[in-house]
Amino acid sequence: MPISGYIVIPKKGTVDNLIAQLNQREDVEVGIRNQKGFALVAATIDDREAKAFGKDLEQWETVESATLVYHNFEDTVTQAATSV
Amino acid sequence: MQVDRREFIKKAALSAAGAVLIGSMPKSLMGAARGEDGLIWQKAPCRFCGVGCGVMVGVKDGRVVAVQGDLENPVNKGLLCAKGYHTSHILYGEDRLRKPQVRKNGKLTDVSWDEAIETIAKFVKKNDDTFAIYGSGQWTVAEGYTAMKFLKGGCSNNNVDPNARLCMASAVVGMLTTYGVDEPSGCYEDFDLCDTLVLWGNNMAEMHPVLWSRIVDRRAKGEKIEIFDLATRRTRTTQEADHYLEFTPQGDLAIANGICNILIQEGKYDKNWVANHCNFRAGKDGAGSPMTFEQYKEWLETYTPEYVEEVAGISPRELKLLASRFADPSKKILSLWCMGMNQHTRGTWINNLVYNVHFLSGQFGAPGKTAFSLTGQPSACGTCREVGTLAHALPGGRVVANEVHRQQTEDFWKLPKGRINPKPGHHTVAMFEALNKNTLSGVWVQVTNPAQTIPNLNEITDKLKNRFLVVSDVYPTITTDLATVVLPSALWVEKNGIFGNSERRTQQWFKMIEPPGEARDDVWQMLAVAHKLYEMGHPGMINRDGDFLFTFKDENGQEIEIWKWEVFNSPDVNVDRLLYEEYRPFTKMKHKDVAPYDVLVKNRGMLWPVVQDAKGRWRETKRRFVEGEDPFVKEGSGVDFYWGKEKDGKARVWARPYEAPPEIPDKEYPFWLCTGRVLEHWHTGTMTRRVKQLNAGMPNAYVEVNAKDAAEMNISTGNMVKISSRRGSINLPAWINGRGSPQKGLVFVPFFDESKLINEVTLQAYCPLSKEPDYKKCAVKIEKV
Ligand code: SF4
Repeated sequence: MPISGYIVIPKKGTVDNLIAQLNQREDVEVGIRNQKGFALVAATIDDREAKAFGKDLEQWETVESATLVYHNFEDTVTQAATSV
Repeated sequence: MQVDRREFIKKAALSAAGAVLIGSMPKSLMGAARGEDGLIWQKAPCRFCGVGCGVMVGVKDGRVVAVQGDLENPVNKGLLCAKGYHTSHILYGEDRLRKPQVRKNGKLTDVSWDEAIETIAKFVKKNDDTFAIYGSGQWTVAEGYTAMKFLKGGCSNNNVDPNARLCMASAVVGMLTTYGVDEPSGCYEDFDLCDTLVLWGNNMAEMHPVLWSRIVDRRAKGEKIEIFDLATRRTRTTQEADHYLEFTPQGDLAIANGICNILIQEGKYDKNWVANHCNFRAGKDGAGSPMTFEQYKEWLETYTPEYVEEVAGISPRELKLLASRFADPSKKILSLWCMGMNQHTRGTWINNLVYNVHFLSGQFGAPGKTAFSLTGQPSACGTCREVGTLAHALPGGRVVANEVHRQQTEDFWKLPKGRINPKPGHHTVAMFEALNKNTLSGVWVQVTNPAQTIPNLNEITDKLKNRFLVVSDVYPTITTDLATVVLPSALWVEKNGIFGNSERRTQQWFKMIEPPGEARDDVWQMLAVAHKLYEMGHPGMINRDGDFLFTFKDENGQEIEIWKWEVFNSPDVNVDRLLYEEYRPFTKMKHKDVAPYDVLVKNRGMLWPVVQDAKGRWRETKRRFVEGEDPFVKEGSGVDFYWGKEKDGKARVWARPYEAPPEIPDKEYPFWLCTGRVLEHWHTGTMTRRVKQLNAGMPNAYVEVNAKDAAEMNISTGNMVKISSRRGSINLPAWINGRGSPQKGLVFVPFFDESKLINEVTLQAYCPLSKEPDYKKCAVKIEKV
């Protein structure tokens, strides 16, 4: 499951709504925030979904921009090395 | 454990994004500056890999309390990988070495610095011709330079070699034999400009994660980049690739020749580029003999797609697909490689052959078009390759076997004529063999852990404990366990330093905090021993003016007593600057002009050659050998290989054949073994295994087994498997379809885990030209236990 980190810059005056909306989703977590925007992490099922999530986020009405700054190609099987 | 790991990655993602978001806070911090948070922020390169990311280090009350990606640094533009974000934690492991120790009655015992220094000096005085220094691509520039001057200039002994021999020597000899001078032509900007990426056995997603993110980010923004992943196992890199070309180990030699054959047979090579910039050469050694294009064309005819399929296992369709990209002049192709190609019994040849592909297709010397060898260690380039800390070399691209070069170096170092020994010293594997046979009596190991990394460990390190072994390190390792003397070292921002990364970027940082306990800089340790030898009357530590070998004077002409810790460590003395400025004139000798120290202080590194323009501004060079970019290129030449062996501005295209590896699977040992690294750990894990978060991410070694092989042998993930070769065996848990997935008949094992020494199994064979061992292939059997 890939994990991606984004910088999200919301449109003016929409930040609280946007964060509230995002917080309802199980696959995302909102991180540090400042006057410009906030950090967001998304855990998706596979790479295709990770890309779709990024594209989709950019289209949200309240989103000015979403920039991918971290991407981790997480292990494709449920059993990670740590469990062996 | 699974939850820990995912949480760890999520945190890394959040901190990456967070750091970029708040990164504008300490913007443009050229020196130290106090942020709103009361932290003093200063720049430094990341301690770990050859990517050379810039980090901003936040210090409070003498402790590093924060690290964030440096937005001002063009390498990473604010981004770091999981290791980078946790760099500060490596400073604070509980078992940091704090006191010098000498083995007494079989036990390492705490001693004073004076006693430790005197013990070493006494031994070196008696054995100066059979003593060696084994260093590292993690040495700072000043550390490598000091080691060279100490042993080659002071002891007339060339037995200095670095662990970089194990990771990039083939790239060095590849470049030397191709265009006459080491280090790449291109730079990281080419990663942003290429449209086709060819990865030759390079798992960038784990090994060069921030550079990989630059590529992934371009794709995420909708740019089209086609990625070819040529490999022997599927990795995280494969997941992003458009084409996975799985080849039989050692088959890369045939693939590269196969591409060239198609280009020429189909008349799709770049005729102008070839006519203007290439000579042709045949032979197995470094010199070879000239051949014509027609002879080369005929020689290549063996490499039909069918023959390539036979020896390399990739289909004619796959080979033609890859060749078609090189045949298309509208493409901008970037080839990348690292250990996959360099750790190869024909590592030099495969480096030559990848240049062939780029030269024949004209994919070289223009933005986005280049062949680029990545380095693993943070200063494999800056220290090992530029300073030249190799057994045959001297600083500035000089070699000990050349009389003129020796004389030049003797003049620089003010040595009496004839002081430098003309006989090259032992390269790494030979050095440990010589220690085993007692033809070398002792070795000083700095910033590396050979008891874990030398191939075929059972043979080579067996007798190390009976030799005079000095180890300078920051934590106990399995090498310090064998040592006669252990010296506690300062780490990263506990000292001044300079690293040179993969793209020729020299980056400087200042000491920010004190090292723990009595730990001291490696440079000081060597200067202190050198001065003790001088006091004992060792003739080599005296220069031709009758002064101490490392003499530096202040503006009043007074000698600075840099061998005294209180002087060395004084804020008024910067020994790094003194040594670097002494070394810098060497770099002009092969047009590798590095920037002055004070210029580096003001910049986030600079790409050499760095020269002053007409207005006196220091100008870096993005692409070497390219007119308009490289100040040493002849006007009107377009591309000028000014160090080309034939002295005609051209590079060499080599006819290097496919050759089978020295050990291939057979009935008794039917599997290939490939070894390597993982994202979370830095080499032998000395530092990263002490970082809780990183160690939780990857706590133990494992063996990746192909799913079909596993099914046939009834092996499931977690089952213990015994891996044996003709040299040794270890037991490891199996991982099927995990992070990586090897081809059928191949197993992969990482080498970071000191409790599971895979190098007791690996083969001691190396490239005869570069002397770099092949850790990527030998024959093993596997059994479920
Ligand atoms: S990619 Fe390398 S240099 Fe950059 S943060 Fe990671 S380990 Fe450090």
